[in-house]
Amino acid sequence: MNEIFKRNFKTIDKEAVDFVNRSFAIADQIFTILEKQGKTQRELAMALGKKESEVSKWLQGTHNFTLKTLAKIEQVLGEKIYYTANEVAELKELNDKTVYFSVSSRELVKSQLTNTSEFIAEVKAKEVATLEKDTVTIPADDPFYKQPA
Amino acid sequence: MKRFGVIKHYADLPAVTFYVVYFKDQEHSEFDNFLLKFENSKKYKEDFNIIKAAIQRIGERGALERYFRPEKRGSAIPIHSSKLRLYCKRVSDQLVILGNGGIKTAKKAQDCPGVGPLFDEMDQIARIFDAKVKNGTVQVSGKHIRGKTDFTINQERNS
Repeated sequence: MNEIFKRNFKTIDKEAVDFVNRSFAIADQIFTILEKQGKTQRELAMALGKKESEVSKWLQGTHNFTLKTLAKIEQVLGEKIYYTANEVAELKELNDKTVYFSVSSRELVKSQLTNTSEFIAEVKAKEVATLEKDTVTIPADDPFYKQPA
Repeated sequence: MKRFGVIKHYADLPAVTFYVVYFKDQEHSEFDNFLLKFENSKKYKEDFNIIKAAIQRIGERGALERYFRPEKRGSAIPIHSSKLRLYCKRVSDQLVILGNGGIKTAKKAQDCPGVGPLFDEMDQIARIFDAKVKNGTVQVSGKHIRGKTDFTINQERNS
């Protein structure tokens, strides 16, 4: 590496780097979704009422996407392209719950398949335990307690 | 006028090795001439930084074909909504030959007095390079270009 290169590439404006990284990331994401859905750039362009050359420009990596353009692309592809940090956090939370439920369901199915009677007994025991735990003993002199008719 | 040149190794980034074009009797490579031309430009500071950031990103992630705008047999690293162009030859996901660039002032690069000759030079260099790879004079392997990378092109240039 020579001095001219070093001098120029150690001082790239951070704003430019952030812009380029995001723009490339969005272009890559659109490309990934197209590949996954088996769609071509031409099909995306047609669905958006644009020229294929314009979509090709978007995927080159230094396009300054507007939110409107992104929203249109997301609508046509039926998938999100870009998430904010808050959306990512919400998704993570949702994903954690999904994992919990899916693990629980898997264990449930496994138990049912391997030992049905034992499983039922176990569930019943848990229900009884829960009922017992949740049972409140009402004092006989409770003024709000109504004797069943 | 005939111009003699050679393609030489320039810089290794994690995913891409960059080569550059040197013309005979020139102190700097064509890419360095591009850097020198714009490094102090206030007018094109933002665009110049975006091109450098794009080169860095490509160098770190790979020179995928769709990142480059085809310009006859060569390519360009364009910035949309800007007139600044850097001409190059994308050889593979791992290899890029960087040329010179400038401000495109006409609709077609060929018609632009500023970048027209640079565009034409890169086209000729790319054609010669492809022919040399095809006939085995130049070998492309992973992140390396080996063999006789010298070339002769026809070009009239003012600068």
